[in-house]
Amino acid sequence: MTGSERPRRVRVSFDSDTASAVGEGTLGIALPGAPARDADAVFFSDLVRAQLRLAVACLIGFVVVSAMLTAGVVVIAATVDPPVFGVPLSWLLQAYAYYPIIVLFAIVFARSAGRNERRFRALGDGGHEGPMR
Amino acid sequence: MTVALALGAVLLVLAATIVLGGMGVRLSRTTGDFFVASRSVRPVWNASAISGEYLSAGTFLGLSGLVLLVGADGFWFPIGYAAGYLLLLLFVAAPLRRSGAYTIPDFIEARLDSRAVRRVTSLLVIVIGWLYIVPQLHGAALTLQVVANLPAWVGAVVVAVVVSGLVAAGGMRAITVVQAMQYWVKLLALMIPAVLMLMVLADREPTLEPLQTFPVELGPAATDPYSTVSLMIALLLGTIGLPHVLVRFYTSPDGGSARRTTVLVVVMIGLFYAVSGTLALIARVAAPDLAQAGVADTVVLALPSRILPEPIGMIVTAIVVAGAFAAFLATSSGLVVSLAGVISQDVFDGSVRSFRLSAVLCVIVPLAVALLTGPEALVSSVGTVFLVAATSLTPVILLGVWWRGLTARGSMAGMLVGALTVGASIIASAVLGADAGGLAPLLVQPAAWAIPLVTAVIVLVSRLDRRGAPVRADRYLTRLHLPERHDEVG
Repeated sequence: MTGSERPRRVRVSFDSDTASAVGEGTLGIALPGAPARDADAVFFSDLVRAQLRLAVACLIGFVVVSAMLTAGVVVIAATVDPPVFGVPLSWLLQAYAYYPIIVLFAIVFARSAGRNERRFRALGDGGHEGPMR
Repeated sequence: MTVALALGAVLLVLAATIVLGGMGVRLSRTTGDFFVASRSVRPVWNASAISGEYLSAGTFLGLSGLVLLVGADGFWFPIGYAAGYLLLLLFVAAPLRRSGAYTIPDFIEARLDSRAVRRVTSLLVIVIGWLYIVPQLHGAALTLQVVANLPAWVGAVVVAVVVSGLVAAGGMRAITVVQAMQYWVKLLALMIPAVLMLMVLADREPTLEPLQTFPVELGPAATDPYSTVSLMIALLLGTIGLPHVLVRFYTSPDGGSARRTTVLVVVMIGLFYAVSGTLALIARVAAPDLAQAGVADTVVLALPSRILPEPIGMIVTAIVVAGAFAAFLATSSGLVVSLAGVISQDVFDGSVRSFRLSAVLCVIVPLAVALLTGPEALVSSVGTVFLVAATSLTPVILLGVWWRGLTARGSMAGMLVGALTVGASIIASAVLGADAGGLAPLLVQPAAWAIPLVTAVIVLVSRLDRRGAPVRADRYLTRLHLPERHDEVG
């Protein structure tokens, strides 16, 4: 009999947590998976707070700048309002001036949010890119 | 001659839509292709497609009509639509891309772990989608009626048949290519006429003084602060709750790319609105006689032949008609893809076959409504859709992304209160009209008080819910906010 000499059967399990955290694809209703690695978890709540702070700051900035522009347009409309190419300046500002402000805040947010995430990754991977804001 | 050219332009857009859609159909082979183009669309294409589907009949035809009727207040609508994308970017674009869901009901169910709340969400998504398709069909009916003297039903039926056929055949992959093309068609269809008309007008002596064309009482100084602020709140937040907007982020490869795509979209739709606004200003100069309800929305179609010499006027009119049809087709097809996704998953088994059946089903209801009702003011019809989305769905989505304590009962209470409040306001303002007195602005523009009310209801009911937040809430929130490991965010 050689049975006792055969290597013992060992149960091998698949570590789904580790696997799903890396480049996971999703199909259908994606149920929660992809839990953070330990290092990520340490900084994760900081990242969420930083992203929310950034979003709220951009929103407030946008509202304040837009309100100032609106006030300026109303003052111009009610006072001097010089025609430019036959159209009152206040109408031109109302038609065109808000879009550059929207684009500006969109770019600022996207860049800053990306930076927050890169810092988070650097911290999680043991890098030293500096503390998260 | 004008009729032949205009109909030729419509046929050209329809043919381009069907050919490009057909190319997409050959690429659509999996369920993922049908629902979200397998999440592989590059940012520039995706941004063109998102912009193509977002810019509807409301701004293509409606903006000029509205500015002609009500003056500078009309410009608040496109400003709100563009700023709505900023809010989408700030609060939900990347997290929702990471959510792993196909539709808003998928997201809500996965976040709150509840089938009941999913069903309520699906119902709202379908109603909002239907409400949004109706003005597109009205726009198509109006256009063919004005330029080709065809009965109103023809335009609506043509758009409905092409859209449902295309979506059923090719799903999201086909639609992405088509919508990207349609953005550029729409932009050029307004930009070419705008440039040509400005060149002609620059050499002409104005017949009216600037203050007669742009009177102070219709200018920016005359705006009503409450109504404007409330409208802006509805438009800014409404974008987040639109079903066809959110599903587009699932076609970005990752959260960072969803953000970059959104920035591009903001640039693209801002450019379009600036051009569309130029036509609105030209309309006040060249067509003040069209400033009547029901007629004003046709002003963009009438301008080229009034200002430009023949045959250029006829050709440019045909270009504008082509752009208008691109607008009706793009927005309707985006909406139908989203609705078909929801219906096929909630009513049927979520297969490609059920998606196709759902695509046809979800065009029939808005087509019936469009045929039974007359075209209202296009911009304000679209504005009402934003209002319904902003009060019923947006608070739940925002809190779902950012507040761990949200519960299924809280969400359900908020959605019901939001839908009922906004529905009651719309009906009350229609029934009471001027009799509402001081309440009239609150009923016409309820967003400023209704959205805080809905948010308070959600928070209160969630706090009182003894079942508490779902056990998996933390894991799901981690998924939403954790950057992808392969990522290249920036």
